[in-house]
Amino acid sequence: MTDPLVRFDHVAKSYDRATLVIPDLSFEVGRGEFLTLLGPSGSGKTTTLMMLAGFEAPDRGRILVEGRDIVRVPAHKRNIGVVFQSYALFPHLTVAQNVAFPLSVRGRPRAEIAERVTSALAMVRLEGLADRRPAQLSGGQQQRVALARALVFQPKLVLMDEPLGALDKQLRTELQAEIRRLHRELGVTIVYVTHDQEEALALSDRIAVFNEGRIRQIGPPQTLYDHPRDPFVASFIGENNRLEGEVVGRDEDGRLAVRLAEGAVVWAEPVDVPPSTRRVLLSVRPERIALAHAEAEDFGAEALAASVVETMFLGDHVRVRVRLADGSLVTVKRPAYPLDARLKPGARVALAWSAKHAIAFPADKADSGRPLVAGHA
Amino acid sequence: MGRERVKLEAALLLAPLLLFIATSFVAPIAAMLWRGVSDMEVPRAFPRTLAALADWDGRNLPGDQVFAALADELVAARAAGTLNAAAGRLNSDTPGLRTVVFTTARRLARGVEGSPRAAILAADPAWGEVETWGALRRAGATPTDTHLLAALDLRRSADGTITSVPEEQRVFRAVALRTVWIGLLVTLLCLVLGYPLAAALVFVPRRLFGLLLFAVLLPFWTSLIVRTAAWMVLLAREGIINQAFLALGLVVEPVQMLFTRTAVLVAMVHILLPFMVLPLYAVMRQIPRAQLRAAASLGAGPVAQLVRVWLPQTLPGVGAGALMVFIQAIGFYVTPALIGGGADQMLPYFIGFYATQTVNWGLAAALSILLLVGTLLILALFGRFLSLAQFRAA
Ligand SMILES: Nc1ncnc2c1ncn2[C@@H]1O[C@H](COP(=O)(O)OP(=O)(O)OP(=O)(O)O)[C@@H](O)[C@H]1O
Ligand SMILES: [Mg+2]
Repeated sequence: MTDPLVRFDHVAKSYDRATLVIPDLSFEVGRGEFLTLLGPSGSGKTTTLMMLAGFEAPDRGRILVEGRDIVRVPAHKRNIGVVFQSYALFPHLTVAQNVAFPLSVRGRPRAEIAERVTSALAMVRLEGLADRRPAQLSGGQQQRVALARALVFQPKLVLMDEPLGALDKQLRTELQAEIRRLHRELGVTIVYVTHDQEEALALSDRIAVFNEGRIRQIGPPQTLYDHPRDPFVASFIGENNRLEGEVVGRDEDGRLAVRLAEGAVVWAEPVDVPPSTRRVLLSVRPERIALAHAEAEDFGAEALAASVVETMFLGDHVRVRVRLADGSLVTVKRPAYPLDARLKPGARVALAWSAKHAIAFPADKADSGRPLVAGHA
Repeated sequence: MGRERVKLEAALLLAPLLLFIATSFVAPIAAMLWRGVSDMEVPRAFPRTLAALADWDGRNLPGDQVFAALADELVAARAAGTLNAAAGRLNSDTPGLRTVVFTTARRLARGVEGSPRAAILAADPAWGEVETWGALRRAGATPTDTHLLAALDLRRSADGTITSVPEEQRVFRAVALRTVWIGLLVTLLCLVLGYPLAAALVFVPRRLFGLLLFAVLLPFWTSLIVRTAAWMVLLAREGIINQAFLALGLVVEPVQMLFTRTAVLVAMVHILLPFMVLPLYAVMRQIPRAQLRAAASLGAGPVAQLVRVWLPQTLPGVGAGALMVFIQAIGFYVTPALIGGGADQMLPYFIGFYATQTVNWGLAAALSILLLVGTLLILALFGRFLSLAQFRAA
């Protein structure tokens, strides 16, 4: 990145001086970018955000904002907006006073405060509620106030830690659109934390997938979805079938011929598979698998034979769980047809997929992600 | 129907407790308070006279049948031994009436010549004045405001108007003011010491927290009298503090610490401090730490975070703590009595004094009413303020 707004440079962090919850973190956030930190619980997303906000200090490394190391700058001088999952509104102040807070601690003139509070409240569509107290607002309204408060002093960078975590699904969708709109209209840079991958896909310019304090992959949603770099990312973003197999050959483009446990040989795109590797793990998305109510031989050379375990009708699509000859289960997702009525448990079906939609990882990489212990450094 | 049953069962379960409270708490207090507005002595001695006086016009001397009843009852009461109390009661209303009553009763006991009216008027000319009869009727009236007025250094003159008692006889207004003043001082000191302590409880690390909380709660495990006695030991002329001062050469002779206002304040603050700290701690603990972080992210430095975000939210705790401490402080009896001087005694001391030393139950009861009403008033006032503050905080 040519001129990033934020740069983490080999940052390490431990809370107890023994376990490094963040062993060595480096990444950049571009100006005006919407970057989402996505990962399972305890993977260090909040810790990363809190170091950026100034509430936690890294043990090692530098955090640069516009090229300047801010590690020693106290939180209140960083000029970074923060939206908390708990909203953290001030209960003794009205909505307008809450939003005015950052301006009034900066000693802005009264008239300017009034004007900017009004426009900030209009921006989050809360014009009529200026004189209410936070306790008199719904969860969604409270989060809008928190957004207005974090944006009203026009910070270049806004951090949001699971801001929608406490809301129900419908409100969440509504506020996602709102945050997206604010990001577009204000041109502000946002670093967003969530463990909801759908939310990450919907909002982000780029996603950083965290696991155990490390970024496993960072990139645009589509890239992460289509070209996961390791099995963790493959299974964390979207759904994936995992099939074990053995490398039995390679073609001139580098594609692998893999013999599955049930016996059939399929082709797959390797990701970081060294030439010596024999055991691999195949990752195939459920919607990439074609399913036919037919014998495998009739369906094509690479087709697999399977029997239906269960079929779930989900309105716009059906999910079919099938069992392969060796007993492993595979999920297939496809648009609903009237003929799906034939996919009863026990029905014989054939599966097939295009070689470019099957990704092969070295099998020993699948269980990477051991507890990271400091002290060897 | 089912709900009615549940209610009934709940009421039955509570019944023993309610009964206990009614017989051991409500009834004695009510009886005590009743004494503050009633008079027993005079009606016991002169029941018929008072009945006859009921429709007296109050401007001319009463009719013959009143004199007749009085003559009978004076003699009877002298014989029955109820005259002394009645005469004392009348004397506290109008000084000099004790002699009048005793003289008249003695003369009449020797035999009545002619009409009772003539005999009584001859026995003492005071019976020829309406004031005397007015005092008699006042002392027999129930409910009466005599004691309540006395508790406020007020009295009724013969014509029924309320006036202050002479300057040199006034006691209770000064006592009431002193009670409130000491209460306020103790409350303020508890707040000044307790607020940082409660804040420390919230912010210190876990290990220190246990120790601090232990220190705060420790006084609860010893009785009030023991703690007061401990202060006597510490503050006495030959006490530990004086000996330490002498040994260090800070003073050349022991300092008088016991029986001073300072001693009373120190001991009371020590005893009441937990009642300030605990409500404060309860409120402070509930303020989410994320709010301070939010304030910091919005540009507020440490001072602004405390003053603009944290402090306002602790106000309900300040109110609750101050209320608890103040109400208890104005009811303090043992501590000032044991380690205060004469000028440090508060209302409760005088209630005790009149109840046990001079056996003026009426006045003791009236002072109790004064204290109770004052307390309830403060409670009502603060209650409004508190619920308002809580509403704002919620
Ligand atoms: N204040 C703290 N003291 C000690 N350990 C902490 C503290 N905060 C977090 N940790 C530990 O650091 C690790 C990372 O925590 P962090 O809160 O950053 O995870 P997260 O990705 O935000 O998880 P979640 O999705 O549950 O919010 C966890 O193992 C957690 O137990
Ligand atoms: Mg978190």
